[in-house]
Amino acid sequence: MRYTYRKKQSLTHRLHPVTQVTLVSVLILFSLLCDNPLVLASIIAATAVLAFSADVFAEWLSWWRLCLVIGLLALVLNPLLSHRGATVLWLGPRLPVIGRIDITLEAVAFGAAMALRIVAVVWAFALLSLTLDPDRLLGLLKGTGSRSALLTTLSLRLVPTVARDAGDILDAQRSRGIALDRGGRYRVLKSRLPLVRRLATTSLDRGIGLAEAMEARAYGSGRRSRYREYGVGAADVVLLAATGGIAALLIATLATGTVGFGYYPVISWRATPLTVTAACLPLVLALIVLGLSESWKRSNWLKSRA
Amino acid sequence: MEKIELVEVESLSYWYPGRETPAVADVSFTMSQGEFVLVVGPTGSGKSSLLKAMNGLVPRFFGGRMSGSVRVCGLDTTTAQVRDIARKVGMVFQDPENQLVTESPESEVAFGPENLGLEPLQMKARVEEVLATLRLTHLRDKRLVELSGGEKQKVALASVLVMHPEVLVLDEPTSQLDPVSADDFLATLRSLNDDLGLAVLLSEHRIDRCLHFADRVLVMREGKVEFDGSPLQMARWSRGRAWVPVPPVTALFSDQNGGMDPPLNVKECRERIAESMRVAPGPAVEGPRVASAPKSRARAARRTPEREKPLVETRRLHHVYEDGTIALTDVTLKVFTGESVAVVGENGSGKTTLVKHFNGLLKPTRGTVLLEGRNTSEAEVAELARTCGMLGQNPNHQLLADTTEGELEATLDALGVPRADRPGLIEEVLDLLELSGFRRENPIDLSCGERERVSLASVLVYKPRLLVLDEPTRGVDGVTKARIAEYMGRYRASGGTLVLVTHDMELAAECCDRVVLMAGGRVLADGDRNVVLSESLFFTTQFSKSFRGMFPGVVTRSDAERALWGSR
Repeated sequence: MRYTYRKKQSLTHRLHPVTQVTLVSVLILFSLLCDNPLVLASIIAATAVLAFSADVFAEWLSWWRLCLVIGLLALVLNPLLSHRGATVLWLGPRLPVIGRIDITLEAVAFGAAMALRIVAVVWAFALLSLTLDPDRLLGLLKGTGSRSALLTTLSLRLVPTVARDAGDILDAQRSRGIALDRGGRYRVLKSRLPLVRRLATTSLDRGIGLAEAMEARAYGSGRRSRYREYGVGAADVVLLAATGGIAALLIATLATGTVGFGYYPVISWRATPLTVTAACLPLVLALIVLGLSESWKRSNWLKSRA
Repeated sequence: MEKIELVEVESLSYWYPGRETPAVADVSFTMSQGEFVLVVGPTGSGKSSLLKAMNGLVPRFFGGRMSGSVRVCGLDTTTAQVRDIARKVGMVFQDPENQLVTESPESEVAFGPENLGLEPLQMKARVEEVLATLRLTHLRDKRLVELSGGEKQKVALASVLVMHPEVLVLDEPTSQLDPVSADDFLATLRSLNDDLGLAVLLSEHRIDRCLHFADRVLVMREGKVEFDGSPLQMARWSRGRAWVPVPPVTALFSDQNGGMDPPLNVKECRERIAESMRVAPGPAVEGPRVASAPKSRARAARRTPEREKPLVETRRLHHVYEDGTIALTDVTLKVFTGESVAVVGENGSGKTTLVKHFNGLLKPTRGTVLLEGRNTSEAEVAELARTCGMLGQNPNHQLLADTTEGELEATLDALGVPRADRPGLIEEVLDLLELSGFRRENPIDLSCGERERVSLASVLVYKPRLLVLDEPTRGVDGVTKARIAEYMGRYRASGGTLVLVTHDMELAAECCDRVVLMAGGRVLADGDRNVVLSESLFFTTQFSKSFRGMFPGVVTRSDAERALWGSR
């Protein structure tokens, strides 16, 4: 699974960080607000189109394992734990703590919708992580925010280093015959505790080294200036307007119940052409981005404006 | 013309918090504009502390007690503002991982100017200029994690140059780099010194790469400056002082007491050899007359019947990491009992990936790896560790216990060695590695060289038939290196088989009979060390470079002595 940003020549990568965050936030927000599986599926399709237009489709798709695991968990756990729903599919045994296991059609459907919701959120986040330069995002923050921004940048930068250190420590121990995965959970945990201590020491050493290097480069010596200036281009204006419009329409459909979907006690929904059209709104937004991206690729004028 | 003194250090002594012994003891020296000063000495001699006093990190950042004074460009480093010192002194540290703050080279270079509060236009001009000067422009949009060690260290250099310092201070900046990247880095440093007139204060263990272009050398021991003079004076002074680091070719002639000045680099050494042999020196790039090189000891040995079955063997081994990086391609290799094999090549050539297959830490993507005839894909690392002991690049990663003895016990416990046998094995390895005095010490409190020995002991304690060492001398001084080489010799003498991954060509030549040269995940050359190292232009020893074209097959000091003076 690839999770780090890499600069590419696409319109999405060139957008203002605020535009990028707004676009993805709208998708995540409606994934959380909307219960209609059609809308959720449309959001997933929209993130796929956006990933394609940003030239990160393969990387975006590589998150499928995580999506599958979390999605399956939701799909399986909800019917087992939820006692709601009128259409009983299977009457199970009574278990301690959980109580009687009754699998209902409504709980299965709600579990499936939850799985779709989680997958939509994870993939939307994947899109942001693959296309948004963290330096650019954090560079937007000023004043007291800049310290938090720097801390976040450092943490993000050191994640691969700490992961590598952890791997190296594990390898060093396994290389001298110390089996770290044998025995019960308690034994595994106990055998790994000294490793955590060593990792903490190594990370602390790195932290001190980094602080030293930052001080040598005058960090914290007074007012900082900002290297990057972020202009809003024509594409940003178009996309912010489109995102705002689509968001307004989605709010309207939610408020009027056009895309409403009830799971309990029985499944209830309206399958009108308007519902289907409203459900496709996220996809429409993604197609606008795709269209603009394709035009951007072919037009030097647009490139000079974005 | 009067010299402009940029750095004035007067009677500097410094004690770290809670320490009785000073890290720097009564040091005085000056540095002029454009001067290139090299600081050398064993690990723990106070080099880093002295360098950190140049920009006030000592004592401001570390605390502790300081006496005497350090003035840089007229600023007293203990009282001046951090921002003012940072404009005058740029510092590059040992490990690039521990000094880079942001995600991309461009942001990293801009970090310092942002801290100085420079105007955006001024910053942009400086960043572009420095990226272009250090030939980093093509890397500007990459992520720092994607860069090689050499590229990261160049970014670190760029990120201090952008602040337009007058003095550059570098604390062992090439210790984590392969020979080619290290040469490139030092060449960049030299051109900055030549072209911009920047004063450079460099601490370095790889003295053979930079001694010849230093104006002055400070030799430190136990916090004191024992010598301050030109490289040639230092080379003369080093006679009879084995602890003083000098390039191998310098040491070769220094110890002859012939009254002549020793050479400082390959060029001077070639002239001296030509003089000695009364032949004109040939061009350094000319290939050796391999036909007259010594017979392959390794290959000859392999023909003996008891060596027919390899101890470790890779058959058409391929390895592709999860992120799609192709690390090994079609590697077929056999290592026989009793052999000593050096695996050399630049960073990223697949050396570590290859040896991690020997004990099953990595499983082949395609192909087979056999250890004592057993397929490593079908065995656990803990089982394979009984035959193949491996020591990684960072000795700290090996050390978990609170005492040296506890560290050795942990290994024996993991391998299920009976309790009755353990004291004998522990005593033996403590004696072998001269660690008896440290048995109750916490390994983390020991010096770098001592820690390296404890790590080695934690593997050698159970006497593995195959010992794999991955960069055991990275960042260690000459004395520690010599000790490690000695221990490897003892291990081999006891019948052990050694595989050594290293960037140190001198060590490879001294300790191993066979050399495997790797590049791009493939084996480029595999054979007798004299043949492989003589054929290589860059991945070879100073002796080989010095004797190339005049006397083929010379790669070690003993080869050189035999060639010049016969078997003395």
